[in-house]
Amino acid sequence: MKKLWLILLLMSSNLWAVSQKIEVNGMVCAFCAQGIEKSLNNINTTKDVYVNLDEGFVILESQSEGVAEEKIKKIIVDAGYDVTQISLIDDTADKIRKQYEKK
Amino acid sequence: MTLPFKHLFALLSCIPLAVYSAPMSYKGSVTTMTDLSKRYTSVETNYAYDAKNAVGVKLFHMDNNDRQRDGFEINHLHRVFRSNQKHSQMNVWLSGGLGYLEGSNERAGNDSNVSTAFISPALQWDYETKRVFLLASHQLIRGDSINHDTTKLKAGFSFYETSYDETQPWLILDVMNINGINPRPEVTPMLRLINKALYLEGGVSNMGNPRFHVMYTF
Repeated sequence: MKKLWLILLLMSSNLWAVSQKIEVNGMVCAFCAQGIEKSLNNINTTKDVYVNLDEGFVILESQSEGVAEEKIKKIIVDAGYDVTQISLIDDTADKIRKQYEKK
Repeated sequence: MTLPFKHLFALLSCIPLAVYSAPMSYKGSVTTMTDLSKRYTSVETNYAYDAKNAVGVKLFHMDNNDRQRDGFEINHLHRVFRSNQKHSQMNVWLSGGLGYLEGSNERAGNDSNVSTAFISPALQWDYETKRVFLLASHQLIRGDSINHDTTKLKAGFSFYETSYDETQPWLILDVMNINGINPRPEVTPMLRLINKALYLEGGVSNMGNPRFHVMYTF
């Protein structure tokens, strides 16, 4: 019974997570991009952040609902970069990370 | 190096290095940079109080065997312009500093000591992609009978693109001239390694002098 509860709990935590794909201009090196990663990790609902320099996007995975677009844009602009698009996606940050690691 | 500056250098050296590829980083961040070479050594820390401005302190030591200079300055850095494109970034930076400098020319047989306040306005332009880096900067360092204007040019390329978590190696050609310190511009081919928070550059100049530049972000 305990195992069942644990499985349900794990499943539900994944269901509540929301991932947002943030397309960023100007993100050309890891040294600069880590400011974005740190700032997004400072949001208290952040579960995972994945930075992809090659394609110029960041995946922000949050607990419960996604972060307001205006808040994300402000964080990225404060880090020195521009946001071109924010969209909701189904995959987790880790799944996308693994997809690109395989390439 | 005079005694008060030795203590200040020691104090700043104890600060955890927090550094960047740009002269400042994101809002709320603290950045520390250090340059080490025979003729010029500096330690600098700044705090970005918003996305475009930072205030900082800097200590430097100049030495060309004939004359020595030890300086301390407070400065303000402003990002005048940034162009963010899909695969590139271009910046124009303006900074202004106010400081105090002392030193001597005694090793040249000229027993004159220098002690003066100075100003140090600077302009920097840089452009980078994932494979190319270019930088040009000029800083005036002017005080009473002092002119140590400094010009830097950097150009280089990375050997290959890397993912966010990998170390990216670059080859950078660095040209630096400090008026009154360098007999001629010092050219240094440098190997640059970037791994997220860690930014290292090292090389040996055309005058046989090793040079290191370290940056770290935390």
